[in-house]
Amino acid sequence: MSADPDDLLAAEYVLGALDGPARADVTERAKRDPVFGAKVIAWQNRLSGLNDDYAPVRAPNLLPRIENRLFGKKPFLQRIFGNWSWLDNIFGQAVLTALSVALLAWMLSFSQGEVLTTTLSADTSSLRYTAHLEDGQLSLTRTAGKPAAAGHSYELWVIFDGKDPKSLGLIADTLILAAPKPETGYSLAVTEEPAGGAPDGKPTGPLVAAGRFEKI
Amino acid sequence: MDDPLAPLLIKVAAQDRAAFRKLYHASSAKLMGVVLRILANRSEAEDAMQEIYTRVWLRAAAFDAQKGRAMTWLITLARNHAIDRLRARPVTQDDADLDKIVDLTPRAETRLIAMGEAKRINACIDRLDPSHASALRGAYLSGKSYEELALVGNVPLNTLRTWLRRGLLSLKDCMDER
Repeated sequence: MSADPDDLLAAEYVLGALDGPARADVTERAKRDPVFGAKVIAWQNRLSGLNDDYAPVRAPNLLPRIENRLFGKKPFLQRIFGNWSWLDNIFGQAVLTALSVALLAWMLSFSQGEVLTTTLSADTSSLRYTAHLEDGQLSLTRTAGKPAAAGHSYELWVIFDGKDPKSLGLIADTLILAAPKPETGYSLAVTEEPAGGAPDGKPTGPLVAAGRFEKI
Repeated sequence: MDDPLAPLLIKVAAQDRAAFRKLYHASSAKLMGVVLRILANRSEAEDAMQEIYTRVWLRAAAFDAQKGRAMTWLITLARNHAIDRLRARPVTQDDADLDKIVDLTPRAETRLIAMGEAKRINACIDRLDPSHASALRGAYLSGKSYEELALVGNVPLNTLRTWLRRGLLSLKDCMDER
């Protein structure tokens, strides 16, 4: 019927008439195959005039939920950082940005359902840790970045909402310890401290990675 | 062509949260209309909307103003997600959710404001056999599969598929010749 079966397939895909498996195949193909992808885009534009027939429907304000999902709760950030005087400087802004990236990664993983793995990261450093909760144990593994420079140590902190950071000890490549209680609803942060750790039990150095286990 | 949402979407790609809010307020009614039309279920539509705007934030950098309008990009993202959800449902569903295959001709006011592609496609659709035209329109708007459309419209599957394919090809010929 058509000189170009791919063009027809792209049209049927954009029309929305393909069944589940066929649709999934075409979705994948459009990502991989730029020539085919261009046909899909051409059909999207060609049929876009039909979009006028979708009557607008007043949507509830879902922004707070969407923003919470993407950027995390503001009070949560303020609660953590309100207590941290070392963040009250220019660097603090960078850390907030960085933490929002870490939160984003976490939010996305959380949206998939019950997630007991999270990533600690910050865009001010290349360090990444994967944190995993299982059977009352919290394990962390460095998946990117370098060990602390000579004369420094990385220190892991747990921060329950509204509480001061509490040290969980120094962290090298991996760390396994009893999971903080309750098992969820807290953030984990790694800071760079003098060798041996922060002298008086409070973080003094820059945040190099952070992540969170949300309440389940 | 005038595309008021394009600058907002470009700012969203640069992680501008204020632009994201503006974009939501400017586009959510339209996208809700799309998603609700396809899913025919308000609470599922609201879930879908959250997922859609999450993706808008994450994928905004993929928008290319040279390749199409911002609203088309947003509607494509919304439609794709809603149709994927529809396909993930069990095949049988409540009769209340079933829409008629024959979707009515566009409302008068949308005819009036239709411009650009809309004007062209509507002119071209008007040249199709009326039953093919309404099948095509209904298929696009509802996002239903060939099987569902055939079932709901009480038309044999192969007949329906042939109508729609023929409709698509004639549409392309018609639009390309203008």
